[in-house]
Amino acid sequence: MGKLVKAEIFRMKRINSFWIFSLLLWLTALAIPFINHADSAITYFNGSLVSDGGVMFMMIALSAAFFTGRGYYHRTSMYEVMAGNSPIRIILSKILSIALPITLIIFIPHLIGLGVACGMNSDGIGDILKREPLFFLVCLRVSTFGVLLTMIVKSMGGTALVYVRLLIETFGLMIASSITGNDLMEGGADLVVSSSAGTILNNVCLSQQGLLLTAPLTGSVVLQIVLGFVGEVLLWGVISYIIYSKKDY
Amino acid sequence: MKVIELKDIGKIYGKSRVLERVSFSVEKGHIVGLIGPNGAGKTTIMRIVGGLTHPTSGTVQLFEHEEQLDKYRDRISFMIEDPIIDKSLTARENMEYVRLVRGVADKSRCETLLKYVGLADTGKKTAKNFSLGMRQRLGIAMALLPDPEVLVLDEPVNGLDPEGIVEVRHILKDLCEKEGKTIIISSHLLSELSELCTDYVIINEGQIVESLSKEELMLHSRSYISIRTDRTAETVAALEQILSVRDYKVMEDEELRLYEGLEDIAAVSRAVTEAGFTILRFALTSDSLEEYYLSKVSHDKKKESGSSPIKNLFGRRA
Repeated sequence: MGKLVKAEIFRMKRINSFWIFSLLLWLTALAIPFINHADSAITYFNGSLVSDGGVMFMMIALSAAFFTGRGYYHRTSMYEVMAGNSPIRIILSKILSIALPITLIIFIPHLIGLGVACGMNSDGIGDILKREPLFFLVCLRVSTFGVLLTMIVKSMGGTALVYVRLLIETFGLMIASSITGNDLMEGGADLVVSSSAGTILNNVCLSQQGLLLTAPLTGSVVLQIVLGFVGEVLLWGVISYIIYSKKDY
Repeated sequence: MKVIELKDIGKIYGKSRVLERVSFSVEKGHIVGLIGPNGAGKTTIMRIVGGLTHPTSGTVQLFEHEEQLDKYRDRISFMIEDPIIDKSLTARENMEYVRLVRGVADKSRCETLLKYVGLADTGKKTAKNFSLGMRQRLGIAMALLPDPEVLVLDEPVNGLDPEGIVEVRHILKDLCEKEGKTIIISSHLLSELSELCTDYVIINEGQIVESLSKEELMLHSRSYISIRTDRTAETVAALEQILSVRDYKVMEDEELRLYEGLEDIAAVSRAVTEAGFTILRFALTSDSLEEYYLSKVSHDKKKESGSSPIKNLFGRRA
């Protein structure tokens, strides 16, 4: 599997679009703390991440889908099969060579942004640092979803499907907000965490993950984020494994 | 040792049956030519061996193993359909990518092979600016990179100029004769295959029509007298009258192929001369792979439709 990971990273590093996407991700992650004029680490998380997390997650998912889709566009993914790699090895290698680097590309500037925000006012930093691994896990969940969905459709069309899912989530949340009378998309953290419907929403909707990250850090929140990650990866991972094992190129 | 063996392979796409009970094997060190018209199922067979297509029925064995085929595929290199090339990368970068995927330790092999296929001077030119022939040669270099025991090549000379075709032929012959590689190759250029292959598998409409070795092909090939005169039609009429010949073909280029009278070719020559025709060519020869293939495929079609395209094309009389 190490061979596939090295080869994929080598290929990504040599294409211009990778650096353009990376720059966009960096700028997004760095700019988010300042978009809402954050003056402390607390407002960075409570203010910016809630409203702009959706944009960040969308960019992560789309980037991951795009770079996975390139392999199908140039048919190099066929080469991986013909070189004698099993489906499970190919799937894991894509997660490690595409989803993980893209997560790191946004997570590192995110930490820098957080550092800048702390420099202004470090109130509540201890609590926030505990959330960082969870933020990383959510980013990894989003990028892994982008990779696996594209592996299922085996084409660049996966990028469009990632976007469609996020659009459906947004419309679904808008409808749910109007029915329940609560703004589920922004500032409805209490409702989302406390109600069973909210729990389901949080685990299903990628765009809701930012909201969950800003909720009071309890065991239930940690469990929801971890389960959300495991569920997402397992669901798409199993489907892509079946597709790789059974469906023709 | 059988490096590849297909047993009763069937493949159905939707309602269309692409392969039906396809069985053949490839022995180590042999060059097997997969011959058939477009849509016969040649590429599907190669894709099944490569793990890109899953057969609907039947079994595939690689290196005499039926399980964990992924593991054994590592010993085979494929070039199926167009060469798999990332067009945004240069030739060197594509080679490096394959080197990493296949875990080839020797970095210098990339350069050696690029020189071998004449692409060492392409510099920073990306593959999207390559001609079809250059891509084909890069594909061959990429296939050779892991030093595989078996090469599966689908139309490897497609898009190459005559010089390139000769080069590829030499490369493949070298690989088989000097390094004992096993090769499965499909090509529309049957003359190329006839110079290269040790075995042939003729496939038509998803079924194996015949599998035979070069020696068997020679035995099956019919010998004939190739005659060219200043007036072909009249020569045919004269030979029918003088020698009562019935088994012959008149080719499109006015060559007369006489399948009888071979035991006394002097009598045939004499008959032509005495009838007053000038002989431009007179030689004893035999059917080529192309003719054998056409006779097999047309025979297959004849069984279905009751007519022979060869008969219509060449005006053959039996």
